[in-house]
Amino acid sequence: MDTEEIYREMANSIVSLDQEKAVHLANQALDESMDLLQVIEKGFGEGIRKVGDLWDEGEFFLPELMSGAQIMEKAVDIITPGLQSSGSERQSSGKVLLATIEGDIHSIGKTIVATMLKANGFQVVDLGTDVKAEKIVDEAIKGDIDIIGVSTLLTTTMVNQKKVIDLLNQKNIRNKFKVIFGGAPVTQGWVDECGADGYAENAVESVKLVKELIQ
Amino acid sequence: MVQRRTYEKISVKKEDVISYLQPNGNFTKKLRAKEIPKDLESQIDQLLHIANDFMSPKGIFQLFSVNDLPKRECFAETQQVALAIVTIGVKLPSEVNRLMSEGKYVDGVIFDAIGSAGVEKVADLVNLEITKIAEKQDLSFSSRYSPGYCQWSVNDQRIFFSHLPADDIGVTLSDGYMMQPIKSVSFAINLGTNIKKSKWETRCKNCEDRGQCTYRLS
Repeated sequence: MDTEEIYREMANSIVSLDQEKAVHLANQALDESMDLLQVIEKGFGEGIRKVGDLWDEGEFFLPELMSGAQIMEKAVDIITPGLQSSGSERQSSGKVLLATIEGDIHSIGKTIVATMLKANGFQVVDLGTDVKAEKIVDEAIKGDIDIIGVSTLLTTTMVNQKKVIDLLNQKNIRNKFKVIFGGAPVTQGWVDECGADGYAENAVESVKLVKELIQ
Repeated sequence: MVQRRTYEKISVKKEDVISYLQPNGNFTKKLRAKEIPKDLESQIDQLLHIANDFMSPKGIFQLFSVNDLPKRECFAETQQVALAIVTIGVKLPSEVNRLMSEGKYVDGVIFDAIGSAGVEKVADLVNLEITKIAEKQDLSFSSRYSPGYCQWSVNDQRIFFSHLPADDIGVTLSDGYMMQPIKSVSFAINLGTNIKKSKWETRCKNCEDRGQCTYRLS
């Protein structure tokens, strides 16, 4: 089997949600001293992108999307020590900070977004739930973050999303970060009113949005 | 009089769980037509089998004269309003958090969907009791509706928590009007002789902006 064929097999193992095969191929990549960066990018990474597309097109149920991400994570975990010992690093697509805003403890949507971003090569700093705008901005500054993602499920706590933008403006650092919103009540109108950079209705859309904004 | 209910076990339907696992948007109808993969179906079955161990289903409700409640558009056509709060408790949401934090995302999202279907099942049981009371009194009744939907402000969660002893079933309301445990539902049902004129509680179904506004319903 030539290298390109192995990459295709790796991608297929993610798309067919075959964890055993993905683990086997990840170990094979280590054993055969393959180019591990390419293994992630051209092999498993291609698979997780296809999984996202399949969910987006209505072909996959949510657990299948998450299964793809779970298998991707396992494959990357196997490969990472080999990458580190060779002095390489998976090239980050960008650094995203995620938080559910103050007053709201809903986490599952944000965690799904974090999982899909990680699977697509982004570094994710997840501050958890019920996070004050001040903390989000402080951590974004400290963490050299590219994109701040703020989630909420309620109209009452949605107003706190705007505080993040207001704080960035007050500190004259608004242009250092892209800010995106997520959550059931968020609309384009709200994003425009707050001066945020975008919103996404689901995890796959959020990956696309982040990719667009980071270019 | 306040009615309190504790349910030993509830029966959550697999189809209801699956409905929470479909994506939003234009492809939902296509997916409904598509069969769920067998291995995923059996994983849902397995988790449904143990789910009752993680749920403490409870409900509380009371019927009020509309004159004892603040004036609201949604109460305009009714003589009585049943207010109810139901929950499945803290254990299942904690388990979801544990699964997700351990990278067991598939089990995590399925369990979360079971929790959502579970709390709606508890709401169904309380709903049924309320409608039986209405029938005994020869009153008609509305569908159940909740703050945060159909332009009923979520701030009106206060009405529920000031009229019902929600502490009795372990549900609290935050300053941002969020209920904890998160798998809790509050709802109202109108009871009266002439409550179906405006169909207030289902008007979103025919709204042009459905799916676009802050009260987003798919």
